[in-house]
Amino acid sequence: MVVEGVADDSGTLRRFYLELADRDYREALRAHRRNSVTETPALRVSVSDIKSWEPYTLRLTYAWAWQAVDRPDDAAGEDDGGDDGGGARMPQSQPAIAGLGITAQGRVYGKTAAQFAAEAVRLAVTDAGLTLGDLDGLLVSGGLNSSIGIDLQGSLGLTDLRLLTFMQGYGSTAAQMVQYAAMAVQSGTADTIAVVWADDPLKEKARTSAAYTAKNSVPRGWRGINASNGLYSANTMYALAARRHMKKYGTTQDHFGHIAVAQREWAQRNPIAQFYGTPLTLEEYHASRYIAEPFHLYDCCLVSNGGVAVIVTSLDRARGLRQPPVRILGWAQAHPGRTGVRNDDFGLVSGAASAGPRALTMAGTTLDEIDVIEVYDCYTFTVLLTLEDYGFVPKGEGGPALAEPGVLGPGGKLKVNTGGGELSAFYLWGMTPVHEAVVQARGQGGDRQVAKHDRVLVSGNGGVLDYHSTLILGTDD
Amino acid sequence: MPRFAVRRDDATAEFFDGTARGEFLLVQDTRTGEVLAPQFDTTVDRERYVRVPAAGTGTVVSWVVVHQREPDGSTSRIPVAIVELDEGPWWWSSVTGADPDEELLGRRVQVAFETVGDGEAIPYFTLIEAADPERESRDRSGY
Repeated sequence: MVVEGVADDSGTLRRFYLELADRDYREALRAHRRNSVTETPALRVSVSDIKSWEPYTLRLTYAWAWQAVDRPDDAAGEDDGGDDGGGARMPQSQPAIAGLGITAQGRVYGKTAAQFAAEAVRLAVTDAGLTLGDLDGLLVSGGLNSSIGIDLQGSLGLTDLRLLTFMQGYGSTAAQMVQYAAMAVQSGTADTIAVVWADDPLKEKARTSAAYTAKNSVPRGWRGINASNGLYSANTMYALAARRHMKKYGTTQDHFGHIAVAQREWAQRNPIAQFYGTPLTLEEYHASRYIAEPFHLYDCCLVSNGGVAVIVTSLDRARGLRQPPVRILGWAQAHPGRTGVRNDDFGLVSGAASAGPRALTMAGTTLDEIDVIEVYDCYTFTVLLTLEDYGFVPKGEGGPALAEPGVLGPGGKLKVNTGGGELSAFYLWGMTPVHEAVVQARGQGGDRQVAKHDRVLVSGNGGVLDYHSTLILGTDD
Repeated sequence: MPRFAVRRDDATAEFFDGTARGEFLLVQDTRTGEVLAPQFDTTVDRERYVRVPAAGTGTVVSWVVVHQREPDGSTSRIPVAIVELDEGPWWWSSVTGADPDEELLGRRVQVAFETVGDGEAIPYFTLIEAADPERESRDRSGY
């Protein structure tokens, strides 16, 4: 809303853009009816020209408004949230990503996940042109055995946060965190939120394969039964899913190989990719050792240490910061809850089928307007299934459709996992696709930059196709 | 076949009591008759949800061959599968008696139990030799 107010000790009457707490709004409304002046502990506002407020339009708290009130009249009008002619309406802040930070990643030793996380937040804050003191929210997550937690607040010296929690949705977490941060900005719960994920599964002088194996020497319970039967790894579970797809639709290992090769091509244009400088041929893919047939080594993602953080704030604020804002236009989640009984569609359909259309609708866009696709690629098969479920290729035809020349890879029609993804760049769970999406949306992809990057779709996928999140990001247009 | 010992916890105590008797216990909803997976928590309503022995037979709905590195440097190829029990629930298990190179989709399997060390009796599945495996596969390969 726009009000006339005296907002400092100068006594000058100016027009201000204000976002009031519900309590302050009600008080202001009462004052308006009395045609009088209302007063809050830090602000005195004349409300004589305020009309037709609607309670549901109230979002942000007064404290934030106090720091951000002074706006040009035209900007205030632009953000009026659709003035219907009945008077000023309280706008709902539009969320955007304003900062991005990534630590060194891959075989990087000597730091804990918590230290990677702290570094990533500092990098993201600096990238945005902010300081740590500007943060009023922190969402934290990390790998299965990492040390990271909400005590990161103390490590960073953050005080008076208005949003703080640890989240875990496995591979769907990163995109979920961005969603919750966006909702917090919309609701006014917090204004400038660091979203961070970090992990440290690789230990010096330990085998990579030891990174995610169970630490218990004597397994117990249901998991123990599975492990003793040879089912102790996500590799095996996803291979079981992939085999179902292969048998039902005729998908082949060659189809998976084309995805691996295409992403490796992208990685050759990404200097921070772990496989930068190491291209892959289809023959080399087939020659790589088996992990769990039908999966070769190069069907499986990397294992990486490192951290990524993004700063989520309002679009208005992001516009005044250092980097091009990346708008958070739409989102959805889908957590199917496998039945594990006859007719379960495990391996045939993922949560992307449900979440994709909802996220696109929220963003007011359609699949054919998506310029860049950053999907969670723990396995080649996950890419295939997710692209089918979103509708980029027909259900059951993803194998041959994506293997067609000119579809994937840097020269392809579909710009998928443009940094090399988790298969060829680095595996920081859902932050891998989120990171590359922000890079692309900003137009900062260097040799791998996609020319048209107005709309970017991001997926997260956790468990064994159990947990899904979708984001639609966009440029500020 | 199970490769190492497993201990019980509170959630698996009744199930392992069953395996010790040579029974693979499922859960039945006495109100609807529906048969549920062993992992279903019967403590939510012990009168309604009761444990019932499965027939112990099922059909492979998906399978893979895990490559396991052994201490001596060799690699073992272990067929593991999702088995659809005849009662409906799915179960994840190794499959013994199977050639790692053969097609297992739709093949019929039978539960067996193995006690490793001083742990519990652990269920696993063995291939039932079908008179005509190809026909069996076609008949049973529902998705």
